[in-house]
Amino acid sequence: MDKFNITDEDLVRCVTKFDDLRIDSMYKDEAKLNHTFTKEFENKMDDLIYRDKKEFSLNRAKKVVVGLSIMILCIFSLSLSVDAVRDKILKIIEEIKTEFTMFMFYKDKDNINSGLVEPENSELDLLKLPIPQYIPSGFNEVNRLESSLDTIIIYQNNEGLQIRYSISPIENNTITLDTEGAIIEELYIGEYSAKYIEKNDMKQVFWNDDDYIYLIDCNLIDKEDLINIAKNVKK
Amino acid sequence: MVIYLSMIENDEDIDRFENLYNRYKQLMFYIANQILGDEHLSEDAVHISFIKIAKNINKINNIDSRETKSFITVLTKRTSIDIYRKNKKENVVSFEEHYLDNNLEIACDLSDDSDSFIVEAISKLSDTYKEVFILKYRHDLSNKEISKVLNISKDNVEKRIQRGKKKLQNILIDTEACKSGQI
Repeated sequence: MDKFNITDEDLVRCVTKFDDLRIDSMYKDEAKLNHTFTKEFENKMDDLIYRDKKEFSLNRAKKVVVGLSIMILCIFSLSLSVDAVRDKILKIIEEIKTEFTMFMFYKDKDNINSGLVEPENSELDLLKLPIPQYIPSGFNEVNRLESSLDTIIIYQNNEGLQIRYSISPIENNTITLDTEGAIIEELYIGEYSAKYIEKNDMKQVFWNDDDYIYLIDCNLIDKEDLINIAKNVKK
Repeated sequence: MVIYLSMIENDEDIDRFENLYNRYKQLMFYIANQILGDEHLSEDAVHISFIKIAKNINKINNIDSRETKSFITVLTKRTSIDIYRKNKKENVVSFEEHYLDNNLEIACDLSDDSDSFIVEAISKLSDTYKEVFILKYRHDLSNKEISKVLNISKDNVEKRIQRGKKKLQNILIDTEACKSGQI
């Protein structure tokens, strides 16, 4: 190494040494860290880890390739505070990052406390939930994943193509969508604005009404078919 | 939160991801909370960091290695700083007061090491340059990969590397000047 003329080789060596020191210096008491994570956080992470695990097993068993990445949801219809009897006040914040878009939904707690919003069951009652009344021919339901956070129904055809329908109550909810390099279009599902997202083989449509956030995604079926499924989601 | 990460493509990666979660969630929360001083925001930072980790799971091999710990700490710190900046105008504990002032001191006891001069100079760089250097020179990420991890443009990564090198050089010159009594 010439004096003050630092090469990349010098940096590889010295940055690594520095970084080792940084790590060793920073967290000597790591074993003592014992933050109790909130239930909300644990649920989010369980949903992230275990759903993937379950779905992957299912997919592998059926020799299905569920494309890359995915998802998620949704938004808009802020007109809800004006039209009709909207007993839920939502704040929807959309954060667009380089690789994904995050939508955050917040219920107004004051209104909940004031009794304007009826208490909801922690478990979704599938009998009362809106579900697709139209599914393209050849697809059959192969799995349902139900939790207090959401319900997912997976349909599949003989070729292994899948349609995944997800419905989540609008609680204080955050939904993350892989939008990196995706085609995004605005459209309407009934009176509610929606987003259509297409990335590689994955097509998604998502929207929300006063009560729920909806997402339908699939690989390789027609866009029109996908939108048709969305338009036929009913109780 | 509803999230589907089919970006994790096989069950080996999912197991690795789960192990990472169990191994590092406390540490990640600690890092985030040092910066944000708010438990709720810190949990958000941990969660977002795990989403980023999922996208980079192929870069992680040995869960307990220093490389993995380094990658996760840099990523969590950056995510937390991004959240901090977004919440700046809200009532969040001051990052500058509660994090920077208590920043961790690196014990550069490398007196017998010929590289100690540079290592010490690196420790004097701002975090902006340190994190780029760590991702570039320790983790061998491309500028494009770094731009995705840090959520900045590729051009910005290149500029930070160049400026970081220049600053490093200046620190070395200044240090040398001090030692020789010129300052």
